[in-house]
Amino acid sequence: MTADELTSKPLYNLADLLQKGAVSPVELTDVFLNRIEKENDTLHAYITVARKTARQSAKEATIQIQNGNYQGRLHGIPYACKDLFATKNIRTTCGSRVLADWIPKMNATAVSCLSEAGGILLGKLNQHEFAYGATGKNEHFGTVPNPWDSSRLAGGSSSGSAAAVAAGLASYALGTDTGGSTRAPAALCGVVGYKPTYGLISTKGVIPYCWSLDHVGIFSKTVKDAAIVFESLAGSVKLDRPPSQEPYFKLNETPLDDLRKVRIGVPRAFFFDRIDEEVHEAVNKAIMMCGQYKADLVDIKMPPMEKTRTVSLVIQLPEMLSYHSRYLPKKKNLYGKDLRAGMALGQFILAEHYIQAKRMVQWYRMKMEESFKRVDFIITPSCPIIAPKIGLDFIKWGDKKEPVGNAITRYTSFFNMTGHPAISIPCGIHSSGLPMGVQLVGHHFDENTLLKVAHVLENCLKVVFSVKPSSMDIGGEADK
Amino acid sequence: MPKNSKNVLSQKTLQLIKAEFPIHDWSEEELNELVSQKYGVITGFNEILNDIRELAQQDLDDIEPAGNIETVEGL
Repeated sequence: MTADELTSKPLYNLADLLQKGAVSPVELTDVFLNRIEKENDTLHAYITVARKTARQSAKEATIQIQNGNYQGRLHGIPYACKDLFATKNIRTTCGSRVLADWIPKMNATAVSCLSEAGGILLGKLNQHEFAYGATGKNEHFGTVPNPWDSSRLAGGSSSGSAAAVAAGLASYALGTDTGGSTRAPAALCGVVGYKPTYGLISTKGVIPYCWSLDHVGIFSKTVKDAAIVFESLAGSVKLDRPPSQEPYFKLNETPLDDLRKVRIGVPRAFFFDRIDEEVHEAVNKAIMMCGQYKADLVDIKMPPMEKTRTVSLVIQLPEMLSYHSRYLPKKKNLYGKDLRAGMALGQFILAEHYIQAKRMVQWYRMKMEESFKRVDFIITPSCPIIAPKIGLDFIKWGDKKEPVGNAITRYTSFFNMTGHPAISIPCGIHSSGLPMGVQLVGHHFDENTLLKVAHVLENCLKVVFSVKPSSMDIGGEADK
Repeated sequence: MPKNSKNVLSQKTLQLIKAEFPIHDWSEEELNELVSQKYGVITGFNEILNDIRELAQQDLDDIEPAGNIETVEGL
């Protein structure tokens, strides 16, 4: 099997190969490290490549598997995480010069969970500085180009995570999602991006952007891969649970044949306004496909959505400023210009308005509880646009212009406020040759059903990519 | 708060606040971005202020600020 074939395979295929001994963790890790070596100068997906520790972990995993101590499907699988996750003895910059030399003494809880499951950490991934923006622009470590078209953005803030999985520089990756920073770049790069229910995966050791809205996110090639990773992370928020207790999440692998008795809500207002026509068409096709697979399609009304981005920002910016106040007196000039402007904006938001925004969030949650009584899922586009050109700051819609960062997260940020689990899966290729994504949103804590339905939809759409930036060829099919 | 008022924020207003309140030492360039937006990362401050004016008028009765999401049994 060639290196290109290995790096383009879904995690669950690699796990089979490792378990059978067809490939060893050392061989697999070297394949990914070689690919990083070859591609990272142009892709800028990694800020730090942890060659030495990755090889050491791979050697240990190889010996364990050879000795019959196979620990499960993440054992020996090379992955990477956004540089916002603290990693013991590995530099953690958060994409910023402010923490350019920080070497944590502890792992973030999520990283510890993956390490315990036998994962091989390849390195730390590029991002928008401190997860501030959705464009992924980074003046310190380079902006991550989209693996499908190097003149375009990968999206953000987890730009390196999306690009690394899309380009085969990691089998899967961790990111974060405060307004869509996992789902949106996943959609723009043609991979799966999954944000579980708020609070289900521990954010301990993840440098905060906004405590109220931060979620850990998973990037993978397939829905099944995302579910396998989630299985090791779910419930990590309560690691002090008694050891005898059953795992919080056990992946139910019995596939659904169809979507009978599944009620899918379609919010036509807002989510289909100001949208690229082909994205609209591709998502409509996905909705029709759900209908053909016997799902009940229900038109639903959402709470007023036009001000939701502002509500989110009124929470994000003061919380971000509050965290960074510790660094500002001495290190303000080390921050990027856009981030400094964002913190300055956070300074002038009044306490009453912050509280009003938090109350609006509670109101949104109450409204969504009502909507979710009628449906099991909501389906929307993941992102109204395809990957924008690098350097573009505003999108024009008729005579109005919208900041690119707002456009990228317009359909995702609401569900950070409501905390519902949400997943973006690829749903087609635009005539420009770029991928598009569809978002499924489920009930709080019902991750299993969300993942199963997303898996069915993925199979219906038959859109699973394995992208190679050097040749841009596409291959693979959904899991049968 | 006057309904539908759409005041345009001036840099002088921000400078006066900066002079009087215990806040960070924002530069002219940083304050200028709030008045005249260049970076397309988030909504401009003037637009946010106009939205806040509308949002602040919404009567939320006795709804409390959002906290954690109620967890399921066993977690």
